[in-house]
Amino acid sequence: MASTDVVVIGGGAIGSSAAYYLSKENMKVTLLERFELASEASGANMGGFCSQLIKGSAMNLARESARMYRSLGPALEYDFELEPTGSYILMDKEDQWPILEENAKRLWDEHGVKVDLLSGKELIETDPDLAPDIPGASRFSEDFTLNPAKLVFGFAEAARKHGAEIDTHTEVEKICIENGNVKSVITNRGKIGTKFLVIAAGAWSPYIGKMLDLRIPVIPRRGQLLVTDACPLGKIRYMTDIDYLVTAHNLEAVKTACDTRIRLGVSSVLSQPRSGNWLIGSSRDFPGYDKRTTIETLISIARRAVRFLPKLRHANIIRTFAGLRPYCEDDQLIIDKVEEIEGVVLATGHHGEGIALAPATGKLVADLVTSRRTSWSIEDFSYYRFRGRQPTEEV
Amino acid sequence: MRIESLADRGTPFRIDVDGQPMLACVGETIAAVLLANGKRLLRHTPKRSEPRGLFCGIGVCYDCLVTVNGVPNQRACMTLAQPGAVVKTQRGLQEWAGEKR
Amino acid sequence: MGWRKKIKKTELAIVGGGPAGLSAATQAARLGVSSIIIDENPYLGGQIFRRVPADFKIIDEEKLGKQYLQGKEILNEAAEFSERIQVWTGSLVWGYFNDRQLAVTHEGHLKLLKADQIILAPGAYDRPVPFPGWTLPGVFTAGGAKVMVRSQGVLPGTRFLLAGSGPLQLALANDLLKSRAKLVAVVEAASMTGLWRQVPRLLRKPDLMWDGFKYLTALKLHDVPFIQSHIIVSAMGSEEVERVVIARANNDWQRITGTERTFDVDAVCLGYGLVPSTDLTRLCGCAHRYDPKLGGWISVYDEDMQTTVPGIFVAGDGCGVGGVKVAFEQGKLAATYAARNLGLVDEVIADRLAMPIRNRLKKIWSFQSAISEVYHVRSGIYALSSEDTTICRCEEISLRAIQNAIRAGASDIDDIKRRTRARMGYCQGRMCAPVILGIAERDFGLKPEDIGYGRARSPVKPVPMSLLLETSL
Repeated sequence: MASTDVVVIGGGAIGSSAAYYLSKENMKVTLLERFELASEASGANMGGFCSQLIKGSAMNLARESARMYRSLGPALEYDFELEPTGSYILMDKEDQWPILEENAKRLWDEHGVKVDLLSGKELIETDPDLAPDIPGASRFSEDFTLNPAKLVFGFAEAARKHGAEIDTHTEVEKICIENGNVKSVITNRGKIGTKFLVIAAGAWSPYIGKMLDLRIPVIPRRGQLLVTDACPLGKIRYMTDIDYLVTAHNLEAVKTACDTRIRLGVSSVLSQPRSGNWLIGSSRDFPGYDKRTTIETLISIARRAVRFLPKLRHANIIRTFAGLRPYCEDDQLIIDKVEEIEGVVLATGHHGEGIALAPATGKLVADLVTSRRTSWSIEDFSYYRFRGRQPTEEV
Repeated sequence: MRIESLADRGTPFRIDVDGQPMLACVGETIAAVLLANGKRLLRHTPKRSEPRGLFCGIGVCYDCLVTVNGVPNQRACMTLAQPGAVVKTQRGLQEWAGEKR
Repeated sequence: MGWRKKIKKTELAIVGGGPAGLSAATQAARLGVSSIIIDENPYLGGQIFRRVPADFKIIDEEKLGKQYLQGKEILNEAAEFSERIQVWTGSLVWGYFNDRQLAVTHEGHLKLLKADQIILAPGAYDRPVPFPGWTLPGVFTAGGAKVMVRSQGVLPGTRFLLAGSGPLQLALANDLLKSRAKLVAVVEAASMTGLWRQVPRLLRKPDLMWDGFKYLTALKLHDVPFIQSHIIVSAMGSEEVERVVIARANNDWQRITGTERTFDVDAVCLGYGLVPSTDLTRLCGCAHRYDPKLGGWISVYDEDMQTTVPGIFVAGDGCGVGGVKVAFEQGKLAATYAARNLGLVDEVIADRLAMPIRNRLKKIWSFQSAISEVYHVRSGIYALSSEDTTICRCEEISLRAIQNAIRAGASDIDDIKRRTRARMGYCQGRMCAPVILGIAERDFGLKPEDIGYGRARSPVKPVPMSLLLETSL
């Protein structure tokens, strides 16, 4: 029987980041991925890091991750195509200034993040391709985009260089516990003895949790994207619709909206990576584990996108796809050590912030496994905040 | 070169290719017109500047891309030539139609 | 326009207006089924019956060959049932949503076609075979050259070399000779000794054998060298092809160094067989299997031509390269059982109607498999590229990049895609996927079943953004 120090379940941004930081701890790491690396949410997103949209304690982790990202490329010796695009939140209507101002204030007061508020005129001067009737925008120059699949490959390759084993097409079937300790993991390819187990399986974490009699309250939240053909690079290459603040986090507003678009959870996120293609998102719904794209949502995404970037009218759509974000029932991550079983660490529920939080999460996982004091507070990410709460009904 | 013995093609009309006039016949695709006139180099690719032209001829390879009446990335083999059409060969990535900046 | 108004219902949707699709439409109509037949081209007929533009006044129909006349006949037959067959040409089926709802671009607008039964007959396309210089203007597929010569009446060059394998390139050679093109050589990868072994099976279809014999005789009469057991190894030129190099090949189609010959040409036609189009069957969730003698990945289908998705049938080259006659019979078979599914024909009657079709298919397949036994592509053909040779034509991805991805652990074709960008361009992998499979198997021993065929996504061909924008919700 093969044996390792720590098994990481999940080959996405979180799992591969965890594998990397763990591999630097002189521990033998084995990452198990049932399909291929970045084949789920981590391979189906835009790769955008937009600090402006992250709230609460997740924002603290995001700031740390941003700092880590600055040296991550050279550290991993891997080019994951980080583009210093900055991020822009675009207004839709004139009466939305209070929303931007409030967000700007929150970012400054709570996190020391200074964003620039731009008038419509300043915005057009920066990039004449944008719709001329956008009343204004909020910009954070330090934000960026990257290639999320390549980030995962980068973490995995670097982990491998530090001795980790990356096993794709390996599915966990059973987990063996002995005397309250993790003993081994049984996969479709055989048994692996291990002392530690990290559950970083995104929307599929609940399935792993079930094997341990742990209720992990994460459900899949689908996001759809369109990809256009390539054109020369624009000036502003990463922008978000102000309605994102509603569709991403306000479930009630989405459910009860009169506007079909909001009900479909659609708000624009547009990014243009190095290749010149435009990635057009975003949407949110709870279809179960269904990764198919739907014609209504694609239409809605397309229509909303041209409101902000009219030139997209002339593009060709060459691909569409969908991914399943891991949505925790209270819209907050879980990073914690399990009390009931010795050796189990949870790192999941990253919703739409997996890329933003991957480096810091990986570091925290390494902290938890080695039983050090965590680099940053994980109080708000406790698995035990659900204790005493009734599970919310299926959204 | 046209195979004259195949058919009577009627009265030809003019299209413009990279600023030069070229004669086209009703029913011909832009690819056919260009090839009939010996013009086989249709574009240079964005990354490695590779010369490309017609390859599969049936609209699946997307190599024969030209700009027609200002709309870029059109398959020459699937686009019919129309009188007065303005065709341009392409070099690198193209701005989408209507976005001349 | 509201998107619900875009929904149109039909009993039977037939995707592809080639021999399989046309035959299916006609048979369906005979059995009382109304269908919509959809093809991206301006006219029905597919590739084999690709017609000359309506505005051309043909001088001598006989010159167009018996295929043209055959095509006319099949189209006329279908026309007799025009009240039951709706024709959507210039229309692209690009998406599949919900259950049997096809997204179609028809007359420039989005239509959602809700079909009770679907027959997918998308045909096949020429197999891309990479070698240094294969992307140069003047290097065409045999199919591409054929479209130009036969359907547009244009010679795409002055001095031609044909390289490939099988009877299709002989037919092209014949067309070129008739058009007075200078044919410098016809290069055949297979050795003819293989062919003689197949004679008993080939004799089951003497008319097809006779064609092959006639074509070879024509080449001899015109002093065109027919060079067997040779493959093309490179094309050279600054902005267009000016020269090609061929070399002798062993039984595995592996080039033998030291046997190179150079020809001055300005047109090269690659005829290495056909690859079935599986984008729609993959998109609809049908199961697939890999058969190198039928062109590679193909949809699994039962004796009724039904795929693993109930209500979705396949027919023609799109589910395994078998040629016109196979396509014709399979289309008939699929339509018969689609009619059964629709309740217009009961099981017993359907089986009775299907019996002679199945018998004919057996005989034709026997001939076809003999042909593919000799001419199917051997792995040596994937050893021609240098590290720098462009494999993914759309994204300009080199062989080196593909090999590095596999060395780094890429375990299937989607993994390779994420690492290299191969299959992310306009053609969505039609050109490079068969090549990547060949390279992965030859250089790394990875079986096609492991590499897979990749996930298909709507749109299966690029569609303009404006198509989605015109629809309100």
